[in-house]
Amino acid sequence: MAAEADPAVLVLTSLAEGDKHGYAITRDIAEQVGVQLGPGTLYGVLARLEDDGLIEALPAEGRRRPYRITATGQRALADQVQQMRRVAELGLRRLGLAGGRA
Amino acid sequence: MLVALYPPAWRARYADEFSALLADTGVRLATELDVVAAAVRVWLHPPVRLHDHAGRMRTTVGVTLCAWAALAAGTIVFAKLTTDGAVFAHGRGADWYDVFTFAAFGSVLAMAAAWLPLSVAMVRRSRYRARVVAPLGAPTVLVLGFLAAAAALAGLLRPHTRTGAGIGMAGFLLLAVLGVVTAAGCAACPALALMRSRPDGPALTVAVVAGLVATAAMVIATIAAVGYTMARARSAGVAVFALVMAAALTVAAVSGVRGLRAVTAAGSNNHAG
Repeated sequence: MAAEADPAVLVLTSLAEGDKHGYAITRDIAEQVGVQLGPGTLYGVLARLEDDGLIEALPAEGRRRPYRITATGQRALADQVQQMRRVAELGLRRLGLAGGRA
Repeated sequence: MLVALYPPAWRARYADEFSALLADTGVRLATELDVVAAAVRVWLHPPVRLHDHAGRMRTTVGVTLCAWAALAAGTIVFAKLTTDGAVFAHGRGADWYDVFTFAAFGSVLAMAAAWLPLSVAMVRRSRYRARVVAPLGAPTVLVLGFLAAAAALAGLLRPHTRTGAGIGMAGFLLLAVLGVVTAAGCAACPALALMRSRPDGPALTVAVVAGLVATAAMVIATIAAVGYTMARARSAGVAVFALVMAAALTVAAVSGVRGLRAVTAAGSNNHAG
């Protein structure tokens, strides 16, 4: 299931921890979520998020350029993960897997 | 190598950091496939910030000219084969032929309206004018060369044909090949000038819009040509003609619409700015 996660949410989640360049983002997502984002996919997402004002590019450090999540990006990520949590809780309840919380 | 798959505007912005990422991750088959698919997506839907509106318009003007050269060659061949190149026809289907003629000439005028102001703008902005003037003037030389070759061929071959009229099948085929080469040159040379001069501004916008008008006129001319052929119950070859014209029209129309979107987007950006 992790492989079907929205790459944009994965990238925003990674950047929510702090500024990162491309390789650091892919390594973080691979280690934390088990999803390997290809370079083409990653830069497609970075360009789209930058277009939407959800992340911003920082000055390059050598050949690498770090990215930072913006305040708009943090709000968008918060909305997204809240919705994902509601879906997850609903699914767990209906499957009878929610433990004592249902 | 993989970075080269992306559009120039994308490379200008991301090439360094993307190359660094590829060096860090290493390149495997899965990486190559991922990058190829991503590059195709960027070509189809470039990031808004990186969209080179003037570049898109120049591409449209160049592509429209190339497609239009094929369309013009098609209409000339059609007129030659059906009425021996007459401007007006008589008898059955003459109304269709009138529409064909007016639409074809309208298309020529629209292309002139597209390219005359653009040519002036290109020459004006070019530092080395010969590099722009030469390819812009080449179509005139090519057309005159073609007409001279056609006249020479007619003079050489006509006495040797069975009826003493026309130039025979071999002569016609030779002329057709020369015509295709001329049409290709007439499209390629101004397109080369476009690449060298890289114009923008109102002349480029006019060229995009006038190119679309020229394409629309060619749509009407093609329909009228098919109508004329059907009215005279001569269907031989009309399907091939219609297919070739439809292919060139599709290329011109798709490129024209993308150019028009760039015109609109550039206008919105200017107003926003």
